[in-house]
Amino acid sequence: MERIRMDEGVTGNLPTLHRHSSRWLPAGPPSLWRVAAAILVLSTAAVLAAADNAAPKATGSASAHITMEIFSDYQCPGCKVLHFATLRRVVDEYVSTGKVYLIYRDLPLPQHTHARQAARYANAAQRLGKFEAVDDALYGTQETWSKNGQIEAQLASVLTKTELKKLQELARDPSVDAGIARDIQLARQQQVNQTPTLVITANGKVFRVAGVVQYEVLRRFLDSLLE
Amino acid sequence: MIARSLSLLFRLALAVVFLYAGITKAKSPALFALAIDGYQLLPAWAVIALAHVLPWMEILLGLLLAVGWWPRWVSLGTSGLLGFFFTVMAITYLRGIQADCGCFGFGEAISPRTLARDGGLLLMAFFVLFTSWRQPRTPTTS
Repeated sequence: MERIRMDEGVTGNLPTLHRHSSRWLPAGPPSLWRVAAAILVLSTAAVLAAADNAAPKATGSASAHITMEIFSDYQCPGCKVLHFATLRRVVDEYVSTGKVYLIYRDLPLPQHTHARQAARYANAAQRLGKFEAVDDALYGTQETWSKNGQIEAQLASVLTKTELKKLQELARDPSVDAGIARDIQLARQQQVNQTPTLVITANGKVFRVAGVVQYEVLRRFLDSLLE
Repeated sequence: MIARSLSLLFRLALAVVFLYAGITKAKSPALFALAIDGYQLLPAWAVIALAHVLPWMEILLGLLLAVGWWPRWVSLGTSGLLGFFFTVMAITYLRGIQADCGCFGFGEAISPRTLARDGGLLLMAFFVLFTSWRQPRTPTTS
């Protein structure tokens, strides 16, 4: 043990190991620690990137007074009706004005053979920045690809060849399926077992609305929540 | 004697149910409209109109049941309304549509339990209807 003068008039004893404050790492080959640090940095980056990719498909301001989650299945006819007859107007009149934050959740039903693949493409489209176009195309051509499973042929009308190829690659990313699995788990937790279902949260309350809701009815309800 | 006592009991119970249901729905017609819309039977304008009118009808029926005015016609109206509700709920359930009952506001799905409950209320209403029509009319003094 060495006696070290720490300050004028003050002395203290410090163990030899911590005598040099700059050496905070145990002794060893420097390159090993550089490799460890690099691995740590890369892992952190990967986790952050995965978390970013795992962000839900959503539109609007996250600080909006009302949050509306839509659990849907791209092969569900009712979901198509809700999408075109109701949700579009909700987006135009409530989401774009900052009143509603709309989150899209995937709930592909087991009896719909191609629904999960369609959901994969929608999630991949979100990463490509083409979610709205693909979302509209999937519902718009639902009857066609529901029968023959040729989803990509329908998406070719809204995507360039390069975009379509990128979409196919992204759709094969395991994190896409992980995101869909997370939505399905969320549906179970919220006791959502049919599509479409809206889960509306506002003023500390949660309202679960199953089935196709007519826009004028939903509009009055949203207005009552905004009062 | 027993029938009359039971009829009175059922009438008052139905009054409480109707008043509670009507007041709950009248407080939030927009929410009640969502429940009606879930049955997928009516266009939007009819859903909205019914959501505003029906709760007050229930409140009026509840009051009339409570005071016992015009027992025959009120019990007929009560049975008719409950019969209509029960029929629509049963058909919706059999169609596999997962709709909200809308019986006491929002948040209760149609299920065998709600059907049994409303069926029970309907039977009570029929009993009140039957006993009220069986009773001789109280003669009015001139």
